[in-house]
Amino acid sequence: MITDEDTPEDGNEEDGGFDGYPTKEFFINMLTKDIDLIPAIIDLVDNSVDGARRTRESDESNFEAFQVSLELDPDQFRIKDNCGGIPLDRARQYAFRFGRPKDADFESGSIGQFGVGMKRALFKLGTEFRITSTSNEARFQIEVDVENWSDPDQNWNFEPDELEERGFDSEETGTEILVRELRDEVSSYFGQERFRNRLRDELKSRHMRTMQKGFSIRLDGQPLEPRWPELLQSEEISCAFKKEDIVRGDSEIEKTFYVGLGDSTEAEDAGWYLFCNDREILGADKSEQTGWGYDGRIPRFHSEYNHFRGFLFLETEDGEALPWNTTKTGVEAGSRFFHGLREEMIQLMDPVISFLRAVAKEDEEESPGADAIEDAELAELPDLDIDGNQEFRAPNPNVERRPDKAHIRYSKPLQKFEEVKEELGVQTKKEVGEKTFDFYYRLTCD
Amino acid sequence: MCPSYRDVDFSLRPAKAVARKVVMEAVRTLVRGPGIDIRSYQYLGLGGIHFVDFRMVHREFGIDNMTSFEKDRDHKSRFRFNRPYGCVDLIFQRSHEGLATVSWSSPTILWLDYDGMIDKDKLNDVSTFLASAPSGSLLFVTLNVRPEVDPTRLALGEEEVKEKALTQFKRRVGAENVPSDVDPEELIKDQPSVAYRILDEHVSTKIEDLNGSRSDDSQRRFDQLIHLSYSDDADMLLWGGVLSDKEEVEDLASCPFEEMEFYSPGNEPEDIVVPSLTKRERRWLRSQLPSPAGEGVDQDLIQERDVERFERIYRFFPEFIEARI
Repeated sequence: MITDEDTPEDGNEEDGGFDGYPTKEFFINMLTKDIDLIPAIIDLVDNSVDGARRTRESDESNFEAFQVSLELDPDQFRIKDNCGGIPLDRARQYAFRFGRPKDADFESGSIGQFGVGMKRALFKLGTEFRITSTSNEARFQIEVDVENWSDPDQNWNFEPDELEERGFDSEETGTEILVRELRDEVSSYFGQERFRNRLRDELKSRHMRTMQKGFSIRLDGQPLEPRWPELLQSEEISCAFKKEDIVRGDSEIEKTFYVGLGDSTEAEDAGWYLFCNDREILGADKSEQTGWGYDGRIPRFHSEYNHFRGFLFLETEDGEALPWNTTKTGVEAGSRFFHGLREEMIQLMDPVISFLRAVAKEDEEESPGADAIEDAELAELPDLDIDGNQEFRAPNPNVERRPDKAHIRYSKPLQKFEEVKEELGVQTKKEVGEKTFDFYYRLTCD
Repeated sequence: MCPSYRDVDFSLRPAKAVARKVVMEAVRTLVRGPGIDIRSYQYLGLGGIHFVDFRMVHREFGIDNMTSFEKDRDHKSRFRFNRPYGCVDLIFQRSHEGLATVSWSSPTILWLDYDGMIDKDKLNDVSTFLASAPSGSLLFVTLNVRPEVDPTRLALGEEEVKEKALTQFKRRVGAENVPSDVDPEELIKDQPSVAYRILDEHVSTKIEDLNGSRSDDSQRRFDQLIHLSYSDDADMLLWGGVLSDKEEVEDLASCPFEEMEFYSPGNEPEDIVVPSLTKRERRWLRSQLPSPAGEGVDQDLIQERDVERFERIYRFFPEFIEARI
């Protein structure tokens, strides 16, 4: 591991200057201080997902062939995946450096783009680690004993102990990381069931989308089951749905909203969920960030609103355009893009909150809102009855409709609408609606 | 104190009648755009018990998708009874609750004809419109702009009174919505201009926020069309404009808003004043309009000032008659 390169610790003491280089200890401490154990482990899983994204065929939506398995033991941590390994040039250029050099090849859709994840996670876990990577063109293995590496006489590089540059079959590719000499608190956490449960839950929500697309995650031999969130629907209640492509400059971001009512009993499940490229960035958020108590349109969260669920999925090849912070645990609050999204969240949330507020005021005898909720059924997001963008619908007891008329509102695909409009020989949407209704009426009821 | 025959009968609110016609004129101008299908629009407003604007809109434009917000829940049957047409939905909620529950799938004409002064709820109503309404929608807002605090009290303790005015104002409007350079004296001496600034600033900020997550092609804008002040028994401000998204601006481009009577996109309001003239005097002046009217008129007969005022609004002048039915 020792090389001959000059060490940065050779300060300018001889010139009377002060050595400005940080010590490695300081660096390691700072690096590991601001991340907790669970996010650190999740960072490693992120890298696997990244690898899978890099390696998979052009069929973008599938992760079926890929998997990662985690083993947590009191004396060792192991993560192993089949996600293509770490390409040699990445390893050389920056997988083993800190931060990412500006000229690094921009990685489409990558969630691990900030470069610090793996190193930080490993330093957090323990002091001896071994990384084995097999990619299409090379296999290498690096063993690090952090104590030795921290020695100020050593430089900041890592050198592989084994390196084989030749072609490997795809089935052989993947990465395995083993950490020994676990830090005391890590060892103790690994012995706790409660810790495992929390890790499992976090992995499930943060990688919900990737798992739904076929990616497999195992924890101590047990596969994690993906689950879609659910919303209520019925004749009287339907969720809001809004899907749009945002094109700004060179980036294209697909934005999808589902907003409606879920199962109430847990207040902790209520709120906004934000996914950036399949990774959950905000879960059950009830803060000002997502509009609650921000400007008076939406009040601060209250148990009256336990039914509220809002889901926002953002997908793009241009990972940099997404409004997330460096640790991928939250949003970049100052981002203009996020301000716009918050406005949209407020606009979509408003009718649902209004409805729930009205329900809270209903009395026992007359409760059309509460009844409608009782009668509605939960359905997973992909199974919802949705036909294009639509507004939230629920009974509003404060509305007095025109006495003798029913007001029918619905959306239909534009293509079909144009065809019917032409057939009928009319000009406006209203006429299309009226004439198609009259046509059916004459056919059946008249 | 002027002689009473110089006063207008305030109970008829003639200045309000003119303001109402200005709103109709804006809608009429919208209709002139060839891409605009006015029958597909919905009309939202605060009809009260008389529903005057609802009647006008339905009669003139045939819009039959209309909703009135009514906060008085204790006399629902009276409002139901006075509903002018079957096509008017009533929502017994204040506008800031009701606006969240209407459908925004149709282009919308929303007239928030408030009686009260500017406050947070009203600003939120404007936000809801800007965020929810489709391109081609129109928004009008009427506000009471009387002085924040009775000006005669200024004499009693200027600093204190000004402080009070500012605190009260901030509380009502939300401190975050009040620019730091608002002069408390203005709140007492020139409330309309402060109210306008708050409104204008609020719209710009909201539009900018909204555009943060919109495509380059569908960037929103709001163009002010009307900014008027008028007064019957209270000082009022009428403000309004049109909302458009970049890719749909074609439809609106051919609406001749700039040629519209009372087009007022600027920061200073145009003042509507209804001169006190008898029916005979008006008939005489009208017979000469639109050429300059009242030339060489004896100043004892009709004041030049009133002639000018009449010229400005003669097409919108409300004629009230009593008829035996």
